[in-house]
Amino acid sequence: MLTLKQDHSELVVLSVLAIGPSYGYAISKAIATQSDGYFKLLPSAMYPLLTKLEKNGLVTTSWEEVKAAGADPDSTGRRRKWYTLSPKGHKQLARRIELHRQTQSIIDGFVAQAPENQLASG
Amino acid sequence: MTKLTPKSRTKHPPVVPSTRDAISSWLDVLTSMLVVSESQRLQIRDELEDHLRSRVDDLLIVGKSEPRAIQIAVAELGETAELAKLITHAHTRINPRRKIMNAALIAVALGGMSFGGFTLITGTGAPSAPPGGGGAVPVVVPGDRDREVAHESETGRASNDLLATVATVPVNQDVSYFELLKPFAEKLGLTLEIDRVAFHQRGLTPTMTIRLVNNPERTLGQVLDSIPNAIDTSLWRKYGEDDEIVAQQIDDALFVSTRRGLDRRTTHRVVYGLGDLANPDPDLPVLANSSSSVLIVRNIGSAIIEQIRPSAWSDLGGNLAAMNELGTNLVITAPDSMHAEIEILLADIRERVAKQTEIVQEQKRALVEEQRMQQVQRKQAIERIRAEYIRVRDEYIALGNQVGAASAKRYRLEVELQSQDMNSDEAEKIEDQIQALSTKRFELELRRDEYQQRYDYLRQLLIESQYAELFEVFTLPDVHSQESSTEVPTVAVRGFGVKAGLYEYVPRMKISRLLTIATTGRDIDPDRFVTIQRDGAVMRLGSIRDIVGGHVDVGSLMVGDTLVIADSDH
Repeated sequence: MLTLKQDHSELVVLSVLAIGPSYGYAISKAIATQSDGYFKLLPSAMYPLLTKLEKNGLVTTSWEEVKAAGADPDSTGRRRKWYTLSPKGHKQLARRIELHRQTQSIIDGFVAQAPENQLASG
Repeated sequence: MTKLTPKSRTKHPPVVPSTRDAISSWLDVLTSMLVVSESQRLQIRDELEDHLRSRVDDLLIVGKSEPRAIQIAVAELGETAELAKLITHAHTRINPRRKIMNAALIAVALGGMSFGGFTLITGTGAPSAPPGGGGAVPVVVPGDRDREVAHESETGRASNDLLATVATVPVNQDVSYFELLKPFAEKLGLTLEIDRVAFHQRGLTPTMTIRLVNNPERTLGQVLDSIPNAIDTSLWRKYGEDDEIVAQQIDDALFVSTRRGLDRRTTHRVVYGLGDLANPDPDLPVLANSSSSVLIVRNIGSAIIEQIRPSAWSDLGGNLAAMNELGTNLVITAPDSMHAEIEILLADIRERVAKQTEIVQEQKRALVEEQRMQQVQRKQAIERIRAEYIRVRDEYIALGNQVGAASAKRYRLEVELQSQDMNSDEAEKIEDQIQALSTKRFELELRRDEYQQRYDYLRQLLIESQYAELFEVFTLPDVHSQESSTEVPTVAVRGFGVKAGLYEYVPRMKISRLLTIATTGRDIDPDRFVTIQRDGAVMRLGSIRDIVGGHVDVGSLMVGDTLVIADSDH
């Protein structure tokens, strides 16, 4: 499993939120599931990142009250913080995707030129 | 989805009671390390609690035990202190764009700033900023809406006076806004300065004309309201509050512009000295969440941005105001109208801090007084201990002397009994005296032993209390009740050579058992006699050998019993 670096994690989190609103634990699960467990975004990186996205206006937040299955209906549940991609966040995601594709394309160019024997020995 | 606001948060009962303690305890530790506002702290706690409980639920589904699930979930969050540091940093850092803008501001500001108090810096580099153009506050004339009047300029006249100024304006003819405003400037003895750029942005050009009819005597306020008539009414709606026509006296000029233009015209930089707030009393709860003056200044800066026209700040994408931190100062470039609001906000904060300071100081004074009283009580208690100690010591010595005297007298009688030839009556009489002396000496010894123990106790207490006074950890003992110092029921053992002292009372404990404990490992004559003091009575039990060996059954102990092991000759 690879731990996502900060530069990638923002792109990945914004991409997850582009699918729909989500909350911290669900975001971390979505990243692990979608990458077949290959990527892992640690909570110690994810929550500061979500705070940064919120402060920069890339996401909006709201709170929901949730209860465990079978909990007393009159009891107060715990609070869940939902993140939704803002219009500014959508624009930022589009820019990041474009930048990512450009970078990927340039790197692919280098990789394509590498000698076959290098690839085989590597 | 139920929407909640941060303010609606209350302490929630556990969703899964059995997991609450461990998770809540961990959250208590983490949140105590956060250096953020109280509302942020609660939100962070809620979010992490949701994360942990969601994770625990998932782990329980895959078959983990509950304690193990909690352990895994908490471990995945990482090292607590590091996590707290990262979260705090995320909540308090300034975004990069702001840092770049502030760096530019610092470069300009360092040229002419002075620190301390509330210092006005002029010459901001703003496009239309005049040299020395500060201290003025805009008068806003919002058309047909309520008029908002800010406080008076130091150099200008009162806002209402300005708006109520009456002049004779041209009527029944098409004239430009310049011709309509010129009479007011002349009446006021000021030069007329119209912000043509701002007017143009408002859709007003110098060639447009306005026709006023009938009464030529108009107030400046009325004329300002009339100026938008120059443009088509269908266009009015496209202009917002920032495009309203306003007027203000700035130095020797009657400045007429839009509100936005006036903001630009009156923009200047102020260094707000926050040293008094940044270094508050550490006990002050109002700012207790901030661990350093830098964070306090940063928090105040954030409060200003959030509270005063947020959209105007460069941090939030605006172009009217900018802020940077410099030590315990905030350097703010903003229009006068915003500076006025900032002053009010800072005054509110200072007032709040002053009240808190007063409360804290009052609490400190009360604490000092309480400590002083405790010190007096300590000294009084120590004196009582010392007096009691001296009394007991003297009594102990006196009893020792009486025991010695009784022994000596008995010895003389024994010698007399052996050395003289006397008849049986006389011998019997002396033997009776010897017996009486023995009994008396025994009773004296019991009392002496009792006083010795009390003497030892008081001496130890005196030493401890005198040491405790040095470290101020002394609790006042009841010097007249040794047993009251403990709530545990006890029994006592006394006598030379044995393990004398208080023992915890154990129900149904045999006397022989306590005697064994008190004599094991000591070189004690097994023929020494044992008595017991119970409820004020003294009972003879037998020798140590007989009791410990089980030859006599002396029963069980009762709370408060005292076993006394006499000298070997008894």
